Amino acid sequence: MSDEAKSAPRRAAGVLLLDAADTVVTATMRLKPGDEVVIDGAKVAIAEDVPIGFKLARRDLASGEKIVKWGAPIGSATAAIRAGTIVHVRNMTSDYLPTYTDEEGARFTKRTIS
Amino acid sequence: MRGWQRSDGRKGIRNTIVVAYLVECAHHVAREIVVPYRENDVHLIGFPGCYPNQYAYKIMSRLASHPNVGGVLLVSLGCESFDRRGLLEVARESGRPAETLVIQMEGGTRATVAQGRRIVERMRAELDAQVTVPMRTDELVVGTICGGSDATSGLTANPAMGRAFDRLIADGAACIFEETGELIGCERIMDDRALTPELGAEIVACVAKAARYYTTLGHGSFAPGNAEGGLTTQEEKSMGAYAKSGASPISGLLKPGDVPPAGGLYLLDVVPDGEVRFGFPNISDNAEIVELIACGAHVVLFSTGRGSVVGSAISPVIKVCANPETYRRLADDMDVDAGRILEGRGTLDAVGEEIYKLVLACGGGARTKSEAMGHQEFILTYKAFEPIGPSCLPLSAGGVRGAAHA
Repeated sequence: MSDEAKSAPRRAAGVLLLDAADTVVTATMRLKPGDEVVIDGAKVAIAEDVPIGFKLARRDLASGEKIVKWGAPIGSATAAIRAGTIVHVRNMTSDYLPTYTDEEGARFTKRTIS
Repeated sequence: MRGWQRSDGRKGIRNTIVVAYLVECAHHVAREIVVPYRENDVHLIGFPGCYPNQYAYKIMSRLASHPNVGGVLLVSLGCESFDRRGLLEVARESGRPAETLVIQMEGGTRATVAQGRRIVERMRAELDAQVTVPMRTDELVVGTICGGSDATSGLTANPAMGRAFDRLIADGAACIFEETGELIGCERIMDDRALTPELGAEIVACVAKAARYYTTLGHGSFAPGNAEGGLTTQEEKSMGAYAKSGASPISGLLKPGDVPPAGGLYLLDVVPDGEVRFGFPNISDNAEIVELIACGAHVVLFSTGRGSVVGSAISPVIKVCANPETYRRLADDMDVDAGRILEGRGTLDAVGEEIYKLVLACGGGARTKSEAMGHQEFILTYKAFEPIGPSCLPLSAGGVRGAAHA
């Protein structure tokens, strides 16, 4: 984790970047369709309801790309993800263990670390 | 802080009587004994199984000699396989008043409850006459756990608790974090923080064990509520949970019931060894809290985003609420509003300082929210562990804590 992110997480209009290496930002408040957030200096329009704590793509992400948060990989994209859209069980998966949710469309993968 | 001096060198911040049932068949009788004294630091603990289990015996032994425990009453049905004589011996050798009631010998439910209450009243009077002595922060053991996590847990409450941990460790306290199954994905970072390369290798191996164990069970330590709260994968939950550990070097790897030999930061390995035998490592948060307490934790810091209301028998639980929306709904149950960080009403450092001060206040006798409301949850189930390896406690050779136990 970079020193800058450690000492002072950056708040920019409802989203938080935790580490310079991250591919996602985190919503620090509920966002609604039509809201605008600023990610890396660029205005991004929100197209869906975003609950507090949810992840948004920091930039366009390709399917298979690592999702990085806190400077650490937390899984991989299972579809192309547009900047500013929610990154969650519908479009990313664990690289370790299956995630079980109540939502349809959740993807399960299994891999053990050695 | 002031504490009750115990014969093993440790000090307690509470002087609680535990009434322990040794099989589910004695649970009701033990609970009936406790009911009139719930406001008087008389707590119910126990083990439900009739079959013997070394792990459960070790945990019960550690709890019967826990620094926060002043007296022990065992309640046995009579025919279960739990070693009640051994456990009574542990409590008595530690200098605590301790008694056993066997329901089958005592004359049944009514007679045992009446006799149990007489014993509790006598013990309570004896303990209430004991005087406290000054207690330093370096005599304190603090555990941390997260439960009902959401995506705010790793942003606010967990890193704030990590900062409180760093302060406590700087003062010489021993701090314990857990759940290796919730640290899957963080093993390499923890390896770098380990005091020795050998300890680092043990940590990596124990996380790999956790991943294998959970894979066999087909289910990680990840509940649907975690996903509803914005967490997507085990690794993400892990990184958030990992923030609880703060920034201190990792001094050792413990298994449930192992008491830290000195101050510093310790990782508790809660995943059983060997083949998968008894199901999920910890079936709910309180099972982990019991294990932290069995390691000697005087206080447990509990971070929650979705909103857990639990406390614990024996050691007070400080609830740190990560999510500002949850805090507004459940303020009565929360000791700390860490979610305010997200709303720009506080910093990680300020919340960390608040938690640090609360730990010391709690050690000085202040009641936590869950404690004041009578939360005394307790759960203990079957598990199997091998003893920790020689590389797990690099400090133990020169250990300074008088309370180190075999």
